[in-house]
Amino acid sequence: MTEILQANDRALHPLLEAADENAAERAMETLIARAEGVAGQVVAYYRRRSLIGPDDADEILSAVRNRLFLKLRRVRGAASQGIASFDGYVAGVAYNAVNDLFRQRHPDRRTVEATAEANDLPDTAPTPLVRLEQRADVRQLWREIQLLRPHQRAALLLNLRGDDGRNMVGLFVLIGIASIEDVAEALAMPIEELASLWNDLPLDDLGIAARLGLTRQQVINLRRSARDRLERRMRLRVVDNNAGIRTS
Amino acid sequence: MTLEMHVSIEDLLRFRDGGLPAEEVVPLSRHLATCAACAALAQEMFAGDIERLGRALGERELARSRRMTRIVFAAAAAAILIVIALAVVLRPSKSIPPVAHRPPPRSTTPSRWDAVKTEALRAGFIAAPAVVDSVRILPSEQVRGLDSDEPATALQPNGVVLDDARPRFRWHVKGGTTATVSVFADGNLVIRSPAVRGSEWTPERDLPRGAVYQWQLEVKTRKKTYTVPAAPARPPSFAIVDEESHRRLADARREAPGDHLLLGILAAHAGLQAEAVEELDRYSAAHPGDAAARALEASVRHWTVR
Repeated sequence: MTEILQANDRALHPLLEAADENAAERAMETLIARAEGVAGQVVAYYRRRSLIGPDDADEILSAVRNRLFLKLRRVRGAASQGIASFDGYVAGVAYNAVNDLFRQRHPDRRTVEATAEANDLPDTAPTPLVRLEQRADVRQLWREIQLLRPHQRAALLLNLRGDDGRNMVGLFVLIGIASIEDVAEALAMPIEELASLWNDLPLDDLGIAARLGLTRQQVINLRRSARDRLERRMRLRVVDNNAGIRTS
Repeated sequence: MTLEMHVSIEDLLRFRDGGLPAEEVVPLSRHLATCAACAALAQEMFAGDIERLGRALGERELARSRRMTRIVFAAAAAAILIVIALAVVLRPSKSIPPVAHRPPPRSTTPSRWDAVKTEALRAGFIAAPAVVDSVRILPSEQVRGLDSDEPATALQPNGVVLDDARPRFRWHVKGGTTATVSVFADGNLVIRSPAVRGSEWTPERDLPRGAVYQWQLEVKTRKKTYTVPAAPARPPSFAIVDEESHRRLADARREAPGDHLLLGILAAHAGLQAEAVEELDRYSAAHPGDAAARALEASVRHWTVR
């Protein structure tokens, strides 16, 4: 029990320690009430930017409640991974619900390069890069990025965007894989310069070319070679891991 | 600069979306590296982005290869068509009438500022943006809230939208007291002043844009500590215009500093009522015959008496 408690946010302890179903029910109600406030902050953030409307907000809050209810039941039954930060988990559920809503509503915004052509794409197995699932995967990816040549790193990181078009470099910092100093070092720029650039990320190829003193085509080639190398390295890692599983 | 408090969910979203003021990027990142609670918050919150990162990297790579193939095919097809077209055009023929040379049409695309003005003048009025409603003081609230024995009165800013991300907080206070200002957004503490002996305080850092804030004073006298305004009175509230509106206004001030009609309209769109009225007033003074502009000004003035 101690291990379970340690793996979970203190806010969940009343639920985990509930002696009977009535106590568990009460604990769950308290948590869901707290969650509404947290999810409300995410919803309010996007509403202030007029990215979602009042009906969307209700839909998102309802989705959060349902998902949380199921998750709490699994946590209570020790059938699910622990929640290190309850507020973070709830905010994440709300954030993902907003992203899902955007994707449903603006499928074309899932970028020109991405799923607009997904139906035409050859039915190939996903590369290891596509199968990033856990922090450990991202940590490995970051290590490989650090091993790239400086211009390759810059070409890749300065243009690193998610399928929603937004800057993805911040993810390394947000999930504790790299510090802001690590990112600045990887980009070979002073931290103050990175901070001033942060809100403009991801940069387009011309912008990166100007910074690096290269042509746009050279930037594209550098990024392609960086991705090729990352793909090879990540694939090797998967093979190694599988071999490890078989021999253990 | 260091963060003395925990990061908020909104801070993390702004960091992720690129909306955090540049001077806060490094302190927030360093705070995440040292504060276990905030690190756990961020890690749980953005766990879903891990898959998104991998998906984006993989899909982009596949799609780029596919697109390059299409471009090569399209280029080849275009080359064939050009060859055929040239063969037809260059074939000697007397039946083709001479084509009169026409100069290219003159661009009539108005500047982005012209479009803003045209649209507003055509509408004939400017409605209060939502942010104005979010901070509006109802008539019933203007007379309640502060008990006569409370040690501070006349709290400002209240009921306004501001462009300045470091607003000056002011209050009237009796002598021999100190006051601490606490500023909240969505119920979360955003910033707190040190104990202030005077009757005003200005934050040392920008408050995040695009948010509605409430604030309160904790006033200490020799005998007692008061929270002003006392519950259940609504605390004074204000909003700071969002980044996009701020930038538009800054661009307009730089590019068209003498265009009071434009500046008034943009200020109104941002919710800056006083500034909008002032600019539109100045325009009307210089253009007394422009009834459409006067109508715009009247509509903005009307916001407070609705």
